[in-house]
Amino acid sequence: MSGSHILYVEDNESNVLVVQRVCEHLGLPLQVATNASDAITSVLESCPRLILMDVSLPDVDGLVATNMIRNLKAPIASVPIIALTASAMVGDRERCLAAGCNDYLAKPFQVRALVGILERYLNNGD
Amino acid sequence: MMQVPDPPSVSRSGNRRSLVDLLVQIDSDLLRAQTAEEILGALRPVLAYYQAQRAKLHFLYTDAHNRPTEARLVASLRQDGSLEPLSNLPALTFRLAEYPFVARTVEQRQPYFIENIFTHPDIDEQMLAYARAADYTAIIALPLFVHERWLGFLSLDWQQAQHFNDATRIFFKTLQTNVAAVVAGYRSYIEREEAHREIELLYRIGSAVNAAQTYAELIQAVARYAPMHPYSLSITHFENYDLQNATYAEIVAVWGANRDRLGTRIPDQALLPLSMHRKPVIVTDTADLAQVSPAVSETSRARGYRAFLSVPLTYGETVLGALNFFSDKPRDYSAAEQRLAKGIADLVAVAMDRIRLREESLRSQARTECIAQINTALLLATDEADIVRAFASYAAQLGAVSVSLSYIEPGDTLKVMRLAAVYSKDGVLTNFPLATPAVLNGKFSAQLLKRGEQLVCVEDAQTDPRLDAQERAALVDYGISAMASMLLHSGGEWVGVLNMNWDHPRKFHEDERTVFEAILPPLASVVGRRRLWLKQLETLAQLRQLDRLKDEFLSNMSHELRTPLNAIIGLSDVILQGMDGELTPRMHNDVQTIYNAGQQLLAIVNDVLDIAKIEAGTLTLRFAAINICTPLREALETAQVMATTKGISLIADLSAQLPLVRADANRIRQVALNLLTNAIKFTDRGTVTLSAYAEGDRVIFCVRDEGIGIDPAHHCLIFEQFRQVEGSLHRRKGGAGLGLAISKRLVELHQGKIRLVSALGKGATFYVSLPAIQ
Repeated sequence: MSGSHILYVEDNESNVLVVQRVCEHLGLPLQVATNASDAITSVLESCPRLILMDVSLPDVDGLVATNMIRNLKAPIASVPIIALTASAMVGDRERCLAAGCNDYLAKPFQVRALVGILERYLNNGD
Repeated sequence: MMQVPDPPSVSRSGNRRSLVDLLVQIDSDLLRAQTAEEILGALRPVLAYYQAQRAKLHFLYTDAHNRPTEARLVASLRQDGSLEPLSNLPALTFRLAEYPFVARTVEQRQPYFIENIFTHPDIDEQMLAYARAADYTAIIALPLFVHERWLGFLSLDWQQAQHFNDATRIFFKTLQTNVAAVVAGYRSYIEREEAHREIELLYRIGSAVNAAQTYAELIQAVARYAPMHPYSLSITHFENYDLQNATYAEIVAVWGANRDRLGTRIPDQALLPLSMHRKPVIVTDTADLAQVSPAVSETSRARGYRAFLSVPLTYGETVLGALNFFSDKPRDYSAAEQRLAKGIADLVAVAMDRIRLREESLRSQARTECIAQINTALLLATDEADIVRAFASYAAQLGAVSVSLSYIEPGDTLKVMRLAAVYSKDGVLTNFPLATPAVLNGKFSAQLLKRGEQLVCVEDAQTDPRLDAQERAALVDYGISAMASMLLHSGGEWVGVLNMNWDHPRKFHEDERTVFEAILPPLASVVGRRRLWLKQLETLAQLRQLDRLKDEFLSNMSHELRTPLNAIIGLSDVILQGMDGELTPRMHNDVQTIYNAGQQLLAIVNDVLDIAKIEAGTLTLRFAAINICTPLREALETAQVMATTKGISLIADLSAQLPLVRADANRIRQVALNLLTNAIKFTDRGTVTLSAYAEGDRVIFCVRDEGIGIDPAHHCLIFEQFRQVEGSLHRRKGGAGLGLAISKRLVELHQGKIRLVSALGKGATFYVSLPAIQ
């Protein structure tokens, strides 16, 4: 099953709110998973168009989750994953990309930047 | 061939006339006799005349006091006038000491007439037994001598008892003198011959001995010409000879059997006769416990010899050692053999002195090389394993089983020792970086440290009185019987102990002590340095751990601050973008303030992280050859928004052709943006200018504003962290005061300089100069 939604994996409610507002504005359906295992379950039920992945999750590291998704069967494995993280030290970006994320956006981010990334990856897929 | 005359046709009545004829008859043959056999052959008429069953000629040999000590049978004539081959006869040589009757007889110098040995009052049991064995009853013995010179004795014997009348007695008395004169001539001749042969032999041995360069060659030279067909030959060298006695003797050369004895040390008791009295030692039968101790008897049996002759090797006043001839059968050594052995010993002694000096010089050379080799290995050593391995080849040379290094833990008590590395002879190397410390509570170790001795050699752990029972047991556990301990003192404290260990008791040679003593100072310094380095390594690890904790803290801090900031900035941005619906201008203004405040807080978080990383030295710059205008333009673009908002015009004056600089473009942009935002912040109206140009071998960019300016008194402060120039006016400008401090550090990391030119009310200009790539 391939869905038309965006999956946001994030345990912090106020961060969810920001992304929710942006997606509402853009008319993109959004599903939220508050931990990695929910995220995997959700992905298996219905493959999203794009995943926004926080890195520090309550169960496992978001990058581990990314790696797990990359090891699932097609087309799930090739879904665009954007790391959305407050880990903004030197090397964090590289770590995310190495784990299989397509892009990286450090928190706090500009709405403009998020919109830009969403447009870029969603248009690519169409 | 000598003409043997017919037996004389005289009656046995023994009249004077016929006896005179007999004397005349044999005289010419006697005078012509050239050998012992011919001398005896000349007496055939006498044998025939008296119908004696046998005549024997013995030569006598004397000791230094001219006492006859030895008799050797040289010819034997049978009744039928034929010569008996000597090989048929047992015991050609006998010692007079063992035949007291013969000795007595000979020394009386008179012809001895025994008509019936079994009734004669002087005869002892030994002689009776001998007479029975030789099957005679009557015997005439004529001691042969000229003046004081002993020559031998002539004997005739009869199976039956005889009666010797006066004429016969006078006849034999005359014969005694005549034969003595002839034997004297003959013996002088053969002695000259023998002396000549001896001299020739000594000359040959002398040349070979003189050519010898080593003990092995020396003994070969002796063996090549050695008389007495030895079973084995050896040369011993006496150590520490003090004109009285030696500490011990070392076997320095062996020929023939028992070559495995080479290098063996012989305790001093065995040397006394040689070293004190300088007399040869002769043992004719090692099975005879009257001659040797049970121990020597046992040793000789195990070593396969039954007799030996040891001659002292004397050189001037000194006894250098001994030359030993071993025989695998019991045997005696004739006076001639002893003389020859002494002659050889004199030659050997001279050569030995020369070889000893040469060997000493070679040993000293070997010692120097050995020290140099260990020293070099120590210099190259980087860890404990290398240090013990530096001794590997020397340990192998000395037959040691292992080399171990232990560290003495510093402290007041000096009681804890930690094994650091062990090298064992089969090449196994064990490193114990974290070995359990052993407590040094034995008497021995405690004493050593107390006395400050640095080299201690234990020759036998079982008997060394310096060890207590506990230490002895510990050494037995490790299979150690002997050891050389080097206690290492460096930098004012005991740092460690290096032990070379043997599984058997051993003596330590002076040479070895010399090597150990020479190695001690460099070894102590290497071990001292190594320990210092380990200590530094430990400190470094602690610092690294602290650093890691700090990094972790910063990383967590950053994460924790950014997460709420994301909601503040993100949501206010969402509202400002109109995503939550229309806003009144007042609402827009308020939300904008929240958004700006969020951005400011983010900038502060970034600045704090930057300065922390710069301080920790963990900030990594990505250097590349760049045109400085690229990051400057990016910074201008970002600052433009702020300038426009404030109504300030931003002017760029960037030279088109600039040399490249080696820089991190992101960081240069950060510096430029910081200077630009500062300039805009402190300028209320007017212009802010960013220029870039080349000057000499440097590329310079500067930011000029027309703001309030900075008092020169404050110029030195503004680049410090958390500084803002005092005054309520400036408070409202915001910022944590880190921007300039970060800029300055970043510029310095580029080998550049930052400089301020300003005065109050005159605006300010910040110059940044970076080295151009040549």
